Amino acid sequence: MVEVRSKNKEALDKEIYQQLRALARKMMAKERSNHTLSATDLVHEAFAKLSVGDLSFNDQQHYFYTFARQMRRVLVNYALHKKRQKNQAEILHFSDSLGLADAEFADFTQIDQAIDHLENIDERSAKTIELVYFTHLPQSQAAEYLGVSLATLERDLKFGRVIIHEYIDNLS
Amino acid sequence: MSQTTGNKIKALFNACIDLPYIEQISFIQSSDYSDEIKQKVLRLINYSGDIDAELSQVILDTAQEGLESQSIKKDEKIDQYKLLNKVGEGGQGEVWLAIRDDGEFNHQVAIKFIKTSATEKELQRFQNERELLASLQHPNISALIGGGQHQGRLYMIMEWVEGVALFAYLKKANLHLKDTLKLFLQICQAVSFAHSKGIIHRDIKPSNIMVTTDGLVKLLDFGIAKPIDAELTQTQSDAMMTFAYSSPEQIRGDSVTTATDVYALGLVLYELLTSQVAQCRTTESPAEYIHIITDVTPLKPSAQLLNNTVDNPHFNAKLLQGDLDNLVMMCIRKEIDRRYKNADEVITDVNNYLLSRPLLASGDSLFYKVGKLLKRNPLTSLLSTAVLVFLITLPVLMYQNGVKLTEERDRAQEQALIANKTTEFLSTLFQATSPLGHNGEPIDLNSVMAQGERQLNLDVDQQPLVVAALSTEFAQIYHHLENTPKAITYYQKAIASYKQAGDLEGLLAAQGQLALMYFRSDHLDKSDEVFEQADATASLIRNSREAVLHMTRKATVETERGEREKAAVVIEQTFNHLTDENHQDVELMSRIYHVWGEAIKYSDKERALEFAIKSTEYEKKHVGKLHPFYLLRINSLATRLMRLNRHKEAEIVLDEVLELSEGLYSNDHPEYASMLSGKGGFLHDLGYFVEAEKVYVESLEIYRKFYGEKNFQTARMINNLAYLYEDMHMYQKAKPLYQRSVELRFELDPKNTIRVATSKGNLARLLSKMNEFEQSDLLLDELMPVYASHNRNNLYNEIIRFANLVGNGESSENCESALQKIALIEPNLKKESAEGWRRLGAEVWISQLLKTCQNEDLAMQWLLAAVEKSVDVYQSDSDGLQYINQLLSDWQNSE
Repeated sequence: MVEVRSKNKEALDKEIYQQLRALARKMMAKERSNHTLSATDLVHEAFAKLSVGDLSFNDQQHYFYTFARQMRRVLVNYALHKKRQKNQAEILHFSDSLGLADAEFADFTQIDQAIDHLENIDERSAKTIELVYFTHLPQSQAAEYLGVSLATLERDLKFGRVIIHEYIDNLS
Repeated sequence: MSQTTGNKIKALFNACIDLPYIEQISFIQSSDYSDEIKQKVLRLINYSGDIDAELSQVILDTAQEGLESQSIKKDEKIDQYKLLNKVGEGGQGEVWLAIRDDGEFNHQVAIKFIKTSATEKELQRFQNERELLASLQHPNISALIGGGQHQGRLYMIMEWVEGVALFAYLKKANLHLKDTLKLFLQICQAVSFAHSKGIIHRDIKPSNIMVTTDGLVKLLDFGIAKPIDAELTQTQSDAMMTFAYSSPEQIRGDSVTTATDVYALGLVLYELLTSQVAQCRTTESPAEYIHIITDVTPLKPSAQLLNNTVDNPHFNAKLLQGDLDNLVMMCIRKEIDRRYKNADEVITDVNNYLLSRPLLASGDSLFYKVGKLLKRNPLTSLLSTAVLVFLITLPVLMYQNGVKLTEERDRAQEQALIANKTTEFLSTLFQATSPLGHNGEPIDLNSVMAQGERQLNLDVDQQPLVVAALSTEFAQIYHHLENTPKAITYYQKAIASYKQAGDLEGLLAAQGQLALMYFRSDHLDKSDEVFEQADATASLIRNSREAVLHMTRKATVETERGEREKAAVVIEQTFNHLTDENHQDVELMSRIYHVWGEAIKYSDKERALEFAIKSTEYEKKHVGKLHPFYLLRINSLATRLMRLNRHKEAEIVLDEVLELSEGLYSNDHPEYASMLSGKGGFLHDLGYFVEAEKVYVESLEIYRKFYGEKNFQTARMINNLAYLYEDMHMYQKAKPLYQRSVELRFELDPKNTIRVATSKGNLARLLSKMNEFEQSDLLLDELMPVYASHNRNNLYNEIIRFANLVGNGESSENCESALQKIALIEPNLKKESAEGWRRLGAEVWISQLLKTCQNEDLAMQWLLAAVEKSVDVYQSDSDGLQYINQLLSDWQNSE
């Protein structure tokens, strides 16, 4: 039927990875400062390029769900890979020429767990968090795909963040 | 439909979340949910969930980091090297340890990969480092072995440095001062090598310096280094700089030079010596950082240690005091051109220190401190910049002279000794009275001087030459303070000491100055006497610089006596005998041209201007612009231009004069008055009488207050003011002033007949205009022979004579005779400058005489000729022009 559907998981992975690579390069060219960029910015153009406009509503909905979930999975893999490396050898801080971000709020695997935790409490909130944070959908569009009002989406987001916040806090 | 636990939590949370916090709690407590649900929601309402930014950031970071770590894996092969393990990562990329894998050697290298997401700028930086390192093969610089591209990522293969960061090494090694300095020298040598290859590192900091287990220093990270002559427009972004080790010029975005590396080396040395960073890093505000780096001078290293801020100082503060303090502070001066120029100079001075030789570096000179102080506080009334500049520059000049005379070793050493002693003396003097210690407080020069005198008189063990040099300075200072009696006392003391020491040049200088002092204080006999002694001294050192200066002093005195021709002869002869060395001597040449110009300023105005220009140029080379000496020169230049009626140029120069003098003097200082009176003369000449009057009166007041009445300067101002009133037809006001001027000039220097005569000439003219013909004639009888004997032109005095002859025009015979005589002198008058007020004034007067004699046609001709000229003499909107036009229209109306 539609091309996106016929794509297997591997192809999607590859596409996400390639898009991310290109985009990361582009994003880094901008002045980097904390709290101004988001992962959603990062994937914004990937979606623009995928021209989902040709897809039916259901296909679009499916596509975004899949993309967000895949994105999350890829990132968890990165994070785990990094952790393994860290355990392997002591990594020196080689150069501070470009400066690093402040101490992280949490590492990604913790956030991943927090989203899992949220999913156990309220599946729709978790989906909302995924759609908003791992794709670049505007909230109104995300609400449409989720079949809720914008106000409900905002409530779900708020609830989701509070759950994650509490979960992360309890971890540390 | 039964709700899950999750649904219940969400439902209770959403139900209460919009309420105020207190109500939320009671709402939850009173709800029907189970305690488990209630407890959970009670916990949740303590969290804001405001983690949007944090969530986004973590996701972004992970995405980026993940991308980076994808491509490089252990055991991969890069050229002939196998990757062993990742040893470092950072903003720029990552570094792997690798080993040669072709069985040839067991050789380890570091391979630095740039990250995949590198920006253009970062790629540039990486390439830059690779290219620069290729040309930098030096034991103290980690060597580049190769480079290339791997899976789209640039890499460079570097020498593997088995070692630790600089300060980690120091902590373990526990080095003595000498060894610490030797370690520092290695860093300098790496930088010096880069400088010799035309490369500035720009990012020297402890984290870029490693020490191997063998104690060999390796300078790393040439990432932002650049060729010395590269374009400076795109230097570096904030992100590439580490604030604490950046130089002021980097912070400001100014040009970066080898001295920028010197600054960073200074900071490193500071830290090596004190275990403390030079600049405080306690502030979080970038603006505050910038202020600290660009404006705040750190404590000297020894003071930092004494300050007790260091827990376990490695070195004793006393070890650092003096030379090492100076060395470090010279490296980290805010002004780029006051540092060592490059790493080589730092190396030289560290070696000087290690070998106990004198250093290039010295503390901020007094001159610099005074300069800074003066910049902060325009002068207070007690203080004359001239004095301070003099006070400070003299020992410096002496020191430089001492250094120059290397072929005459003994003499050079002697000079250096005197210079050092003098500098030392002045330093302690300044410290004792501490005028510089109190920022912003006015310096009481008198207390400085008093302290200095006490010190000089107490220190009886001083060598005669030192006493002589110091006495000369005190004399100079008092001379500049216009305290002639004190200046005389100290010159006498200097003469005695120079005699004792057998220093003829010093003796001649002191004698010449003393003679000048006597002359200026109108002790003419004594002046002549000392000049004779000075002549005798000069004859013993005929070809010396000092002998040339002696001649200029003699010429000056002749000029001031009005014996200008004699003066010109003296100076021309001196000039013809100048050596090549003399011609190179900007100070001397400035002086000669100045004195010569003064001597011929009436007889050859064009040449006098030429000399004034030369003198000004030489003086600029000698002292720069903001200096009283330069001011004196350009003031003369302005006068020369005015005398040639080159008003436009004169005005430009005069503006500079006033600007400089405002900067240099207080406005009750006679030097300032003299510049003012120059401006007054300018206004007067252009016909702006009312404005000129104000300026003249102001300068006269300053002179009277400062010198009292009995002074040549005061007398000159009185004379000029009288002249102005005469031009304004305010004869009653002018008369007593001219009379006073004559009296003063006679009292001050009765022997100077020509000076008195010119003054009498003015009075005679005025008396004639006031119809006091007999009195006027009596004066003319006295002064005209004096003019003749001094070869001065009597032309204008003759016109007064004719005016007196015409008188009220009652005798037609006298009228006839006067008219004939006027016709006779007319050709001479026409030789005078048509653009000068002198001839104009004479022509107007003659026309009035003709009118008095009822020769109205001729009178009108003269007047019209004068009116025509007046346009060139006076400015179109001036009082002077208005007077003449008034005269014309009155005359026309009366017909």
